[in-house]
Amino acid sequence: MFEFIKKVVTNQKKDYLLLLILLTVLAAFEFCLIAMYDCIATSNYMTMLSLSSIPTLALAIAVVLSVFITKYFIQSKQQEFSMLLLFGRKPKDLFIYLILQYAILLIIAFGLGIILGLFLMYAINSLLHILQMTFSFHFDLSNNLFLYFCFLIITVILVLAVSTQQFTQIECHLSTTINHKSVQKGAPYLIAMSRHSLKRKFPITQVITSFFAIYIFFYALYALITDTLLQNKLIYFSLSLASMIIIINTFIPLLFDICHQSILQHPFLFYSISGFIDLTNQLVSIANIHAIVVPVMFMFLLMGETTSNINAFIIPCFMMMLIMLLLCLIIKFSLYLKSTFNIYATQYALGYNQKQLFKISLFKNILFIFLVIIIPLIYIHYLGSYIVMQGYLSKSIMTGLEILYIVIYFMFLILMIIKEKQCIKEVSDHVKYLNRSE
Amino acid sequence: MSNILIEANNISKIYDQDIFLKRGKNIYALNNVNFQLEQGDFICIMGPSGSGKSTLLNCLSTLDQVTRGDIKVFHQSVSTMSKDELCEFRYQKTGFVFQNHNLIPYLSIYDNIAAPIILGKQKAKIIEKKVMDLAKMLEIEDILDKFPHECSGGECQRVAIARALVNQPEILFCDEPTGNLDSKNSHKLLSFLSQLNHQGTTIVLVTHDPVIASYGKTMIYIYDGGVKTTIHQNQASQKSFLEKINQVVHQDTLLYEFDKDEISYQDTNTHEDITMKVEDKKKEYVSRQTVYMIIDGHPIDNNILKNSTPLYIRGSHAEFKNVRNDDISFDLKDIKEIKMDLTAQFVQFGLFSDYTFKVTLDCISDEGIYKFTLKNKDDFIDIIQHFHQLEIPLDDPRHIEEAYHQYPHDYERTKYYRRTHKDLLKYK
Repeated sequence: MFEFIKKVVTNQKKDYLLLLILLTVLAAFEFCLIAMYDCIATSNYMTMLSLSSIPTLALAIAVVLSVFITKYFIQSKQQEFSMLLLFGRKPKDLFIYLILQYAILLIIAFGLGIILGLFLMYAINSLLHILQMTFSFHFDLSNNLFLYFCFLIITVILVLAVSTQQFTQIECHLSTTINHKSVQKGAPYLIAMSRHSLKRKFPITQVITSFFAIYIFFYALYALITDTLLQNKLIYFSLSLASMIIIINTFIPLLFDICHQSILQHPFLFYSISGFIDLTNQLVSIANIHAIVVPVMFMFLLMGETTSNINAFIIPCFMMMLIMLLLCLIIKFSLYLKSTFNIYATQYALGYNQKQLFKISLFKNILFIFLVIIIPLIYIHYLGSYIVMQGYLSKSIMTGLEILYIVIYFMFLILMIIKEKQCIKEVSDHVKYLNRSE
Repeated sequence: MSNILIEANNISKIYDQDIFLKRGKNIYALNNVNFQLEQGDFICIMGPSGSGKSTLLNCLSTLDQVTRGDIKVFHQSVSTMSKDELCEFRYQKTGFVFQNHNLIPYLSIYDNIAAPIILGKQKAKIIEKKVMDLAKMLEIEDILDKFPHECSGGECQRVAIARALVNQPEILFCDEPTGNLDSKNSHKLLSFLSQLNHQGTTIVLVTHDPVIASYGKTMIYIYDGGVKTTIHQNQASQKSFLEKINQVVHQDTLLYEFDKDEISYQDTNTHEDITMKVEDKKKEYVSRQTVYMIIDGHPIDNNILKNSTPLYIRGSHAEFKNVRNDDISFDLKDIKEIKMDLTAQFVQFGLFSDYTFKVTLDCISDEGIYKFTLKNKDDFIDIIQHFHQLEIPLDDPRHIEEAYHQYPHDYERTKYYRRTHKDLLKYK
């Protein structure tokens, strides 16, 4: 078993190194967030409740992300695991095989996480000092290490749960995974009004859901502007973003279905919207986290008292959360990108030239960024200005956070455009993507 | 001008260009292949796994580039066409049926079939009519509102065929189109393809199965990247064509291995040679063939020969394989006149680029004109002398013979041509 693991790791050095880096970054963030939580544990009840919620929320995201990475790791090894099952290994053996690999990685990552976390805490304190804040984080290392160890255990338990679920899936779909096919996904959208084989039917549920989402969106938007109470504003903010996600997931596919005949006459619109539906289907979980996390973070902020310490908590937590969301987006996007190679290769073979394919991908990505990133940014900006007016955060801090948001997601947009451009270029230069979708 | 749609001249394909540095020799996916596709042809390409069938199909359909040689589509060299022009060619003229369907997973079956015509910005009604007609013909009208993952392999294959046909292409490229179909559906599909072919669609089909190949008009057998045999159906029945194909394919099947084992077991020395002699009397001289002329007894440059089609001259007798891989022979005494000309080619040598020149010959006879582009370098002067000995009149408006006398070495002669034949120098 050890010899086999050694060979696998040596042959997939790059993948394992990337996994180790990701886990180390997450572990370091977890260490920092635990340290921050530890710093306020001694404050009065309301302050502790509000302030400690911010790192706790970020901590929860870090754990979810660790689990998500594990899931991705197992998915990428589906072929290997299914081959081992085929050769007569028991699922229990595979479980041990995975734990041996993953436990070693997790231990190394958590070890490195302590060093990187300590360095990050030092950097955060230095940043606070540069920003001339009186507050700095002082934490009890032994207590912090204990909590950190607890988190390691929780992560391992979650990893075990996820891997069990994944192994069951591999066992159930053994023939599919062996034949390189991905496990079947659901339909990207409901075909109702654009039906050809059966009688067309009016998608009543989708229409009602969409109208309801649109109504909620505009109602929440109106209420957000007119309501003066900050707590209410935050509720309307979350409501508005949640309805926006329903609009993306239901209304756009519905429009695609209803206006199908007209859209068919505009190839760019047709491919961009259908590609957008596919993209959002794959990245929807991130968009959901995005819509929930930011308002919840502000909500926690308002539960407590207005102290200058808030700024000290908000800056690093917001930064770490954005970086984690970005990591999540990048991983999801890289998975999505793999599936697009064969699609672009087919379109290229059918006669679509590089320029047309670039245009389609650009339109699709800009639509995605506008709906999933820019609209929430406008909301955050509006809400941020109000929070600054109320004196919860200083103007410079809020501007800094907004700039950070813009920079991080602008980088992601650039990455999306460049990667898809490279993908289109690659598929038009190499016919192998057409025949084997590798 | 003839109705040649695609013509490949001495094409070679090496996937890993650095393989020579790594292993000291090139591994050819295609090696020196000639191919000609005329309107109305139904060519089946056969060969064992890894022989280069799909590579040839990809190169002919302009999806892949050749390492050496030239492919002409509709009389235009692929190397002179931009990527956009190639896309336009594929969109206007070709249809593809891929080995593994290649359906877009997030589009419905209806949208997948309509995918090529959407680019033409046609009216929705026209798109619907075309898709519905094809769906009915291929019996997939019930699955139009499904997604690819909801369909069986056979259904997906029929969808892929419908997609390939929706644009009414002039040439249809099929890579193992019946791979996922049962024999009944395979027959249905191939009869449909034959019917299309009778209506004027030109088809190039790659297959392993001799029965499927027998639906075609010509079978090309590829082995180790080179064309081993070409058989034309001509007026023969499908059954006798299949027998001919089986005889060729038999050499690479397990059955042949069994036969060999049996012969050695019986210790028999009376092994009959089963290789087939394929004859095709049809000769057409309309396309220009790149050849390396070799006069019997004269020294040969093996480096040039390796990547060229040889034209052997024995006395006054000349023989070569034409682009359709037919054996052609003629008597030089029947040639009334030879017109000599030059052709220039823009070549890149790493960082540097310049023009090289090749001699073209038009050998005019009563039967027609044999058109050649010669790969010969300094030894061409011997060929000219040979033509003089045979008293064939030479028309040499560019004074090529004089240049050979004045500058016997290729490098100096090329420099001279660059100075004196500037009309040939245009970037391609």
